[in-house]
Amino acid sequence: MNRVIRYAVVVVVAALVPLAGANAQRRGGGGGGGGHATRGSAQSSVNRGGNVNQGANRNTNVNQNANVNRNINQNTNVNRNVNVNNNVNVNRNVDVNVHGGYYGGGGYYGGGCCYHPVATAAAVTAATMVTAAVVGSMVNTLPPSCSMVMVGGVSYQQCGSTWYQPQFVSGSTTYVVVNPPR
Amino acid sequence: MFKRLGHLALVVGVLSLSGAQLWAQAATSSDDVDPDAVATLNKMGAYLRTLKAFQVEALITRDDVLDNGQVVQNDEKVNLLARVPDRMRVEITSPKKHRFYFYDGKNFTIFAALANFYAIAPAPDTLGKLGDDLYEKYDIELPLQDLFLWGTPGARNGDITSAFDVGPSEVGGVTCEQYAFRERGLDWQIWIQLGDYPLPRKLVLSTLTDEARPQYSSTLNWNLAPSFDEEAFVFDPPKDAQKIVIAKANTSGGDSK
Repeated sequence: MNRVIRYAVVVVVAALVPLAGANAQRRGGGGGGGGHATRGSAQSSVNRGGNVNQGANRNTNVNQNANVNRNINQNTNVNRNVNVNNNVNVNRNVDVNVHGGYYGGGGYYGGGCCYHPVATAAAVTAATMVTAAVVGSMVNTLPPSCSMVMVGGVSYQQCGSTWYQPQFVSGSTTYVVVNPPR
Repeated sequence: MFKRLGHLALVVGVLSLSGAQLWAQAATSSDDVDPDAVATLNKMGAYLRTLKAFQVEALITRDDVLDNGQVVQNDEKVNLLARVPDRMRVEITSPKKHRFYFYDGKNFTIFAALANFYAIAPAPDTLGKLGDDLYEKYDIELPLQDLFLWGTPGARNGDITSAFDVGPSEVGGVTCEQYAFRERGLDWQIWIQLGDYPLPRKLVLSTLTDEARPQYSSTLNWNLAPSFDEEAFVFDPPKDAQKIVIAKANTSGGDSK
């Protein structure tokens, strides 16, 4: 029992490691270099906080304490990472079944997400469930053998027992794992 | 495991330290602001706010920093057409994407041409509010946002800790004056056209919060008398284009019913 708990804690720590990278990717303009995880991207606006400083804008425009707020907001980003971290679980599909899908490059696409290093994916995958993709997790490329299904006027991709819905997430096209719509 | 945690704690400690250093730096350098440089920036902002319609073609480079600190540069081209106060069309082209934004004063449409996906969302009633709104709600960062923020209360000129005139320069055959500014966490330079049309012609940002100091640069080509009609701001979905969901910011999607 004790051993199990210990293992779980290790997994949590391991899962934290890619957070820093996933965080800034969210704002990542180019989406990383050739399948590598990115930890950040250059700020693109003088008047709005940048990639690294995510939520800073909101505070910045309101008051003069923008500088202080930037640091605070870096922490805020961490929460968002948790979401992105889900990618890792799903990305193992991508690693195994790389194919172009809709996207020309078949890789990272459109300033959004990101492939994580295979090693990272493996580390997390080892301790998480290996069966179904987690609802809410995202992939840029679908696994093979999916079929488009319209349910209630909304298009889904059904890949075995896993349902994906195409969405714009942070302005990039992404497939999000959803509960079966029917 | 504890060793690992200790490692994390150490990293956190180092991060806090560098934050304090940055703060000290900002506080001591406030004498370095050349008021003429700031005045020129404000003049440019005021001029931008007089434009009723404009088209800008921008060549943009942006550095991503890999986990190992290596910098990778990405290129994209932006073609932006705006009519004050409430129309905009943006086309972004890069090796990885071909994206369009349409704004008609009521709705915002995002169209991913390669995937043939689009989404429509309600939008605020002026261009000035659009950037913040899209960022807040959908985590979408419009390109060239500074063009809409300079000369407004949203401009952050008060945060400048250092400003000086680098000297005359030239961008794309246009004579400019180059200025260098520093804010906490950001060094930036701007090339402002000399003469009666003080337009920003080039912008370079160096992000200091990452030790790799990733850069963003944009070179702007202006058309102050663009030719367009209302159709330019209206999205006409191509055949087989799929309308999809646009996820709210700060969620991982999924809840999309």
